[in-house]
Amino acid sequence: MRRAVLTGILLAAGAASAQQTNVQTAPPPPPAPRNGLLVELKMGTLIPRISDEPGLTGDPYGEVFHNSSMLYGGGEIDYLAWRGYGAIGVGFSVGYTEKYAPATVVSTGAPSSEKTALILFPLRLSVLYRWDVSWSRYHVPLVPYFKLALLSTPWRSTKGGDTEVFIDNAGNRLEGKGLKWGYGFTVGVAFILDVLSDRMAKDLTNDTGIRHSYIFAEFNDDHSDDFGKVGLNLSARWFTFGLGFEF
Amino acid sequence: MPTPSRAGLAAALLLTTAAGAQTIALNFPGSTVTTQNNGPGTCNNNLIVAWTSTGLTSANTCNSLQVWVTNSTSCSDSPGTSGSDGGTDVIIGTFSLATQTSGATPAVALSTIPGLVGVDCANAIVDVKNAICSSVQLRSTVGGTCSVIQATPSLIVRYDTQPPDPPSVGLTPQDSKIIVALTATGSQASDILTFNVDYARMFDDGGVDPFTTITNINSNSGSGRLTINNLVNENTYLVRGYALDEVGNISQPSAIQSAIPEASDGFWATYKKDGGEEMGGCNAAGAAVPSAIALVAALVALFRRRR
Repeated sequence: MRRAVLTGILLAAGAASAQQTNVQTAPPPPPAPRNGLLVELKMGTLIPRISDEPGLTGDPYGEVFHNSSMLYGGGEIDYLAWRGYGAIGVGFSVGYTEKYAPATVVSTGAPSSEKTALILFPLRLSVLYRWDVSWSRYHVPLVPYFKLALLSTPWRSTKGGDTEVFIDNAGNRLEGKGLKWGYGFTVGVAFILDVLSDRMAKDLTNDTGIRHSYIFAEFNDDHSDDFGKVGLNLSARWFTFGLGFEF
Repeated sequence: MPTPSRAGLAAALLLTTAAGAQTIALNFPGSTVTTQNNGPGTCNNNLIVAWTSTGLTSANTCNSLQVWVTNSTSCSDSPGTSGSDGGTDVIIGTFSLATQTSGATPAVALSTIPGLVGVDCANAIVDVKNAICSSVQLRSTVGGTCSVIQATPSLIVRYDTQPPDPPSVGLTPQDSKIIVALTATGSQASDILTFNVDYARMFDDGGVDPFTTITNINSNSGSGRLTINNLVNENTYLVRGYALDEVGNISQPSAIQSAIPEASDGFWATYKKDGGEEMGGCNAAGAAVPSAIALVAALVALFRRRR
């Protein structure tokens, strides 16, 4: 009888020990890293506000492209340098957008068989703030953010595949290409896809190092007019959408 | 085992071992093409064909290897020098496999190949395509029957002085230029390798400048495209095209087409005519690189400062 009781006590103690061991081997949740890297792919449409240039007697974009939007595609890399109540970082994005339409025959005003194009290569260096505590602390899968950017936009106008040249009244050859500087604001919101499947999100992290994935929509208010200088105005107010990954 | 039986067995084994690997290959010396094209001026050139056999010896063949030029584009088992195909095939070489397993035929003048015999080939308008064939009778087993092995693939020798048909010409006038679209026509369209184009400005009084010729416009599947630049807008230009085949036979000129280049405005000209102040001129593509580098450099500097 005593032996049986002693055996029971030992078994119970062993079980308790085993339980304690299990608790100790469970890994603690990883601490949130102080830094992060965001990689985004985005697209959108825009109509440059060329007719905003003072002194223009017409709307050249509307006359040639009939105010049809330019399709934009690009990518962005953001470095989150500080995390506290939200995250602050810097980012760099590159993009490409173009619009083609028939040129106009001068004598008749009819569409020519030759195509003309406006081609932009928007570059932007951004400072950004993401209020990501909405997800990390409150588990609301929407992360609003704001960006302030320095814009640099090489542009080119072509006709028949070559850079278009305009001969002015003084006989000067003016080539349709250049570079516009400016600034821009962006406000957006990201929807954290992790909320859709916690298991898939963890697998993605373990397999690829992607800590979060998200889709986003943002509004851009770009002022690409050489900081107010009169000339070709490539400013635009436009939306972009895309897919992002946080590493 | 008696000696004769052993020898027979050895021979049988040899024949059996080699049974799956007997081939004859032909080629034009120094070339990998399977069709040798000849044209005007090469009538007196010589034809030489190299051959190589594999797995063929006097022990497993019933006759000598022959190389011949047919009067068609396909090969039969043996040269038709007196038989059903007209008897005009020309044997250009007969080789004993007891003494050699490869070799080359003696040079024969092109003018002697079927289709050119008796023709003034330097001046005649002909397009002769003849296959060059080779075969030997193979005995695959000792005492067995003989079967034919032919060279694969056969070669083609062509003598072509037939000019192709003129191309069709389509013109698209643009600002200071005309786009010319050329399309090969006729039964020899697949032979067209290049086009030539003539163009000239026509004046209001009917006078025409001398024609300028642009040559060597590549044909891609029978189509060619050319842009004639630096033309004077609102002037009529006359354009005609020529097709050239694989040996440089040139067609008659196409029917003359005319087009009038017209000035057109693209976006940049429209903008400037609307009073735009932008002067342009900065190399946009070039500017993209330094400005991107500057932005990235600023980004890197920020990162390093942070660390």
